[in-house]
Amino acid sequence: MLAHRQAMRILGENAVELVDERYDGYRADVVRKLRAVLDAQARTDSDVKRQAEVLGELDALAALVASKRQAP
Amino acid sequence: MKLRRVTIKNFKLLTDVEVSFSTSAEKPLTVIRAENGSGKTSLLYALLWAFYGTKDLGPSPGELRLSSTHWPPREPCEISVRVEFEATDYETYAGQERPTTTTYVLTRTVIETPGDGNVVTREREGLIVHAQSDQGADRLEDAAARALIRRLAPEEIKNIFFTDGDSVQRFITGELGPKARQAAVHEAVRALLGLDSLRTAVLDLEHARATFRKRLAAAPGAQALEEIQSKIDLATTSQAALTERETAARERHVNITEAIDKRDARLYELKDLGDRDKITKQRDVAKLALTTAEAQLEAQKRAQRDLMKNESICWTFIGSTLERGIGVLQGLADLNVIPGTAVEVLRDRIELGQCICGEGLEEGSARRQAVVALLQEQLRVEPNRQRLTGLLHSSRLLHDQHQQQELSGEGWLARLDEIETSRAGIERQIRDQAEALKECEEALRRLADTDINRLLDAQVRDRAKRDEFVTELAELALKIAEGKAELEQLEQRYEVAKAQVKVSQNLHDRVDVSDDLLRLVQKTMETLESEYLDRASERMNDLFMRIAGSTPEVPTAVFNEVRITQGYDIEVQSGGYGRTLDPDFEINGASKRALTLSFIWALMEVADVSAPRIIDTPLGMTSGGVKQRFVDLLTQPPSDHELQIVLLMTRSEVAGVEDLIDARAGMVETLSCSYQFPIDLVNDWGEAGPAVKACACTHRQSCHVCARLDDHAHKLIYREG
Repeated sequence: MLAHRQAMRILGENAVELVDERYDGYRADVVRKLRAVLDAQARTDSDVKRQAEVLGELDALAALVASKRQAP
Repeated sequence: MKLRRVTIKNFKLLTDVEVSFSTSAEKPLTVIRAENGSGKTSLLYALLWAFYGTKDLGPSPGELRLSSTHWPPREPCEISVRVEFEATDYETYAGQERPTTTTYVLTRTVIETPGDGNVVTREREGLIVHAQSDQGADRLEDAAARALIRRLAPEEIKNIFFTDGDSVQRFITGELGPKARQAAVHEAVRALLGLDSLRTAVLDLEHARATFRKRLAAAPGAQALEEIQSKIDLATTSQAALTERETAARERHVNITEAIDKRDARLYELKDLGDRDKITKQRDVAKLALTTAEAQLEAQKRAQRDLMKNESICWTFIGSTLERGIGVLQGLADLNVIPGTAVEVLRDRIELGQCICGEGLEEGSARRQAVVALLQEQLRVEPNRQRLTGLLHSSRLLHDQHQQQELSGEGWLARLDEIETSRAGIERQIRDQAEALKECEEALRRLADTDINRLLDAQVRDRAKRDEFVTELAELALKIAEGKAELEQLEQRYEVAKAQVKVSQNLHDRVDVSDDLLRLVQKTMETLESEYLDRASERMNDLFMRIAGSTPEVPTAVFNEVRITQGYDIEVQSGGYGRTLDPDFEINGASKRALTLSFIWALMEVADVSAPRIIDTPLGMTSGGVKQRFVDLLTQPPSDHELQIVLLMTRSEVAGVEDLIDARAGMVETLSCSYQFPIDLVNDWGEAGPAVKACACTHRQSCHVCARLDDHAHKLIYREG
């Protein structure tokens, strides 16, 4: 995406508003996942493949959230 | 992305040309100096071809010729453009952005064989992209190469990066109509702010959320959740339908407004033509005047014909000679060299029975016998003398008539002059009246072609329709807001119900993260569409006002404000009363360029897009202070983002901004074309055919390659190369 840098900055700024108990300490990971979601568009022209990639990224993020919850 | 170097082989007249670009942050400008016909546009096309191929490069790929027109027929021509460029990616670690710069080498090649005439055949183009690193060069897969170009220089906005001073103006000029203009602005905003990518991401995240929610709703004991989810689905579908209706209504509103404006312009034009009855009266008056004048002209022509037939014309030309002739003939008659009376006269008298003196010549009378004897005597005289006597009598007669009529040669000339003056006046009157008549008839014809009442009716009808659309849009906006509120409520209920569902925490997490990310991207989009568009609008205004030298505080300022409207139009307000200006007719050429480039610059700055801006002949129509400020403001090295500008300029464009180029340009090179010898170029390079060459001359230098006959006008320093 051409305007990646600016959009990523705004996404990063807005990420501050994410609920603490879920993402505190993992906000950078959230932004990285979103970057991956956006990058998926440059990697493939297929809607199905792209949506599958996005599902995969969300799975990975959910796993991160779970590991945070389980952390002592 | 920043260009480093381009190497071109056999593209048009660029047979073997290498050009380097400045990548310096302090001196972001590269100037390629080249006169008309010296390869500027070919260089621009070569870059476009390298990145995007032949698509959209010419009228149609079949008609497009990449090789030189001087390349011999049926001989394959190997064309290649190799572009070396760098791209910087940013990763955020611990709240800090860390840049990583990669150098790429893109090479596009093709073999083109010119046929006879204009036909060319081309083999399949080859595109190879290498990423260079310390370990060497890695060739990118074809799909990755295409994706890289799509990411760094998307095709839909290639005309923003590679453009020329004229075509860039499509953002504000109305050649294609306001709708196309708005579409161009909208597309540039969407592409540069990355809105389309974010919109796709929203759709992908919505899809993912729906997938997770479906799984959740299928869990045991999730009937309530399923119910709410189906209501959410229904409300979402209804919202989508409402949004679609709103888009359609907005488009209809734009279309009908455009139609009303067009009709208004037509009615205004018709109003300018005038009232039909008034024009009809004017036409009748002109017709009558024309008929009268034509009759007068005919009368004058008749008078002139009569005058030309009048014998007194003789007196104008031969009067004095004739009088002398009568004197000579009379002398001959007095000396009896010729008879005193002509044979014809004597015969006439005898026949009439009356003498010249008035006495009767009755049969048998002594006078008649004397006249008959005189006739016999005259008949004995030789014919030539008889003719001279006849001439004397006819001349006398003419002389007498002339005396009686008292019409002198001077009088004839005065009369001729009078007629001709009158004729000229009448003819002028005829021309004027004929023209007036033609104009009236043309106006009536145009009025007749248009049914004004029909136009007025349509205008009333469409205005009412437009009002309906406005009402419909307001109603839809209200419904959409209500739907949004309903969805929010349903989402809250969903959250409560979700907590009751006993499924694996992992599924709950998935639903949560898809919700969170979706909201995040949606909010980012809203920020870009409102706040960042406003920022771009403000920056465009700032740049443009400074280039135009227009300060709103000064009452005589030409411009008051420029802005990007919510409807994606670029609006210009005049100084004084702040009226909206028509970009086609009320903004000069230099201001149009300044405005469109300010738009692009502002948008790229705000979007923080790092892509080269290559502009062919950017400064046409600009001069003086505007030209200075133009170059100054658009080439200023920014402190907070990357910039690379390549200006393809003629010597005339360079004139007056040399000092700025000294300060801002990290690279200046010159292109010249051999075929301009000896008309413009000083030296013959000894090339077999026409070819473009690059030399390292800056805007202040010339050398054996680029020296031109008019260089003295630009005070260039000769450089031994």
